Amino acid sequence: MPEHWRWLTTAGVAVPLFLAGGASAQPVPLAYVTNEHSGDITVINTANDQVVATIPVGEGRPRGIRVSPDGKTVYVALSDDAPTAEGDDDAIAVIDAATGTVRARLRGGTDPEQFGVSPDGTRLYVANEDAGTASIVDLATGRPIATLTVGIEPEGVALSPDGRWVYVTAETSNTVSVIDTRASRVVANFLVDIRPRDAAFSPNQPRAYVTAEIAGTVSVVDTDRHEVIDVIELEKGEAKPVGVAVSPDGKRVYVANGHADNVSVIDAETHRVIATIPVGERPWGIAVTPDGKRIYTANGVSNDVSVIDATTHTVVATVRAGKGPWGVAIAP
Amino acid sequence: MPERGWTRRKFLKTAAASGAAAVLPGCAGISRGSVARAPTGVFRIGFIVPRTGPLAEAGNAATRGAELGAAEAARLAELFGKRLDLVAAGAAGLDAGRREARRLIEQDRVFAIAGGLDDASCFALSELADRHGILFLNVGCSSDALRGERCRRTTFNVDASTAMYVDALAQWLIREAGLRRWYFVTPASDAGTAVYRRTRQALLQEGGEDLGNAMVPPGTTNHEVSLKKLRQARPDVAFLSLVGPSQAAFLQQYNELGPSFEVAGPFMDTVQFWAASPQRRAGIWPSLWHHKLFRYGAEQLNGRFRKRFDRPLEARGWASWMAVKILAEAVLRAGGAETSQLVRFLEKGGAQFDGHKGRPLTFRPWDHQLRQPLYLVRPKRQVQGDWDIFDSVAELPLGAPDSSRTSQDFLDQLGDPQTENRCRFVQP
Repeated sequence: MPEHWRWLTTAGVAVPLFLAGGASAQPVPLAYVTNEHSGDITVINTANDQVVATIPVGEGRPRGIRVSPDGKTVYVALSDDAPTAEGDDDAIAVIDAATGTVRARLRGGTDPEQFGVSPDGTRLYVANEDAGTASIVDLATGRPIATLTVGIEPEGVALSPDGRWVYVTAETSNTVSVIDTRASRVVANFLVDIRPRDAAFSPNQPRAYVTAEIAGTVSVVDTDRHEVIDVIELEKGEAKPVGVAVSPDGKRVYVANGHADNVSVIDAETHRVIATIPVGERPWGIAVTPDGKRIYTANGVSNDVSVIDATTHTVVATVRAGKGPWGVAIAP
Repeated sequence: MPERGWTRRKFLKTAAASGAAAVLPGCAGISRGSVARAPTGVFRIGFIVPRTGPLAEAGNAATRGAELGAAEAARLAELFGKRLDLVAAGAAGLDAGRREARRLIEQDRVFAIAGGLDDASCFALSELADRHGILFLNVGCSSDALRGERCRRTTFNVDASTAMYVDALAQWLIREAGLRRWYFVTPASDAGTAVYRRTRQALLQEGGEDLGNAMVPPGTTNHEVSLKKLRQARPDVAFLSLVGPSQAAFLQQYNELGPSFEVAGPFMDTVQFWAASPQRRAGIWPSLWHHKLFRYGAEQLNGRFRKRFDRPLEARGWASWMAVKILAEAVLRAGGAETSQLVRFLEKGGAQFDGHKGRPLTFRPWDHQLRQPLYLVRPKRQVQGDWDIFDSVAELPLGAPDSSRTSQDFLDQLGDPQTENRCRFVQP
């Protein structure tokens, strides 16, 4: 078997994940979608938008999902039905992308929902919703090395491209806590609009974008000063923005508008909404392919994934997923 | 409400015993008094509700909400290097309430008072806070007069107005349930008459029919005559403006009669329904909150409350939690606790708050009423456990919001529009 082939296993059936044959084949980016209610991960080949595998994750509801910078590991936040206490099902599942098997379960604190992976792949930053903390997990040992107090009911976690800053949104205190990763401590907090759910950094500008679900806005943050410099209202505030992703060139911001069933496309320079794209029902997670040509949304109610063409701003495919798609991450 | 002395006074968080007090600068158009304020960086909220007497259980429920709000507000303030304390006082009487409110203002140096569970107390606290140039947040009084002819610029209303409760009922009962023919049972008082008039207006606007109005002595527990009139009129709905034991007695006699019509009314105290026997539960009622709400963080709020107090969060607790949250966030976002600064901030449409109801909550600038969704509940036929006695029937206003109108316009379907409101604030 060529080395550039990888395999995932679904019910004992091995599925090739690098689909082009030959030594010169380029790896096809895979989209990993967590299915909160069916307890598994749908793996989509972004070259043809076919489901190539379904990975069961064991006990716990899978929600937040990230892929390691080298693409070899998929991390999934699992939580039980008791958000106010840490149980056995509260964990970060570590999935080997090559075999599609859960390699380990790290302690994730109470009700882990969202987290981020450091650019060097050595640390996880996990938001612990009930505890109001963010845990820093050393991936070499799998153990927490620090627990930091952040806002009330922290949720979204985003890392700056250089790995220096971690933004943790807190949906009840309406705050963003700024973690300095060198010092492993919170160095600033700032207020944003009500019920902030997620954040994303620009890859090439000192900007971050924070969604506020109830306000129906996106805050634009100057990441040099950790200050909100503009607020973009979506659909007169009637959008319910949740997930947010920035294109690889930094020119577009894509916002999954949850219960509004659409995606807003924002021009990162003018801060204007340039398109609103109807997608499946209740899109929460959103991710962009490494080439910037496609956007994927996890649609929690319609149990599918919408694939958006970034040029035409139209849905070009709808992929069936498991039950309750929640998050989506695309391997680099 | 009987007037009694203050029976309990509790400091939830002990304020600093000493510290330089700053004198509140004159607040043109708002401040009539001179108030010493807490040390810099320390913000104190006073909280006053009855803890004895007929409203004791409602007061306890409200205080629990305020305690949770205070704990969360303290954490929020700490993120920004500030300290926020709640100073809670129990009260069961008007004169003593005024005395205690003065103590909170003059000795504890609170920048705002939240509380009030009956109209007389709310009017008194509103007047006193205004005279001393601090804010009053009403958590439990629905009187339209408090948002109308007796409004004050320093008073903000977290509880919904009677007009909002009535509009919510009229929308659902007529549009959704098709119950158009109403017969009223109204206490013979100015307040009762005001509720009847406002409800009749809502009924007729929705295309309903007023079959009659039985005026009863305020506080009566004998409803034989009213029920006889109702049997003769055969309405779809008996609309009650009764409260407390009078309401409970009506519901018992209604249940004994064997209901042939629906019962509804704007005034429902979940705590009272919890304490009542099943024979005294019936009807469709509006509420600020329901412990089975789960979307937009409601499940987490209900969970935090239950974890802390081992009982569900109800309307009074939610309103008190919300009031403390509003005050804490207002101080941080407005940049201080100076009264005129806070009033201006709260009056702005951009001052949005998340009550975990799925919409941004804002104060109407013309009467300082918090815009918010309401919920209709109905007692369950089969009850399991002590608390889970209601089914949630509907969320109001009806209709799906869309991008053709703002959230404020959508929520303004409930309550008096500006053109019909009699509140005229004294402008600075």
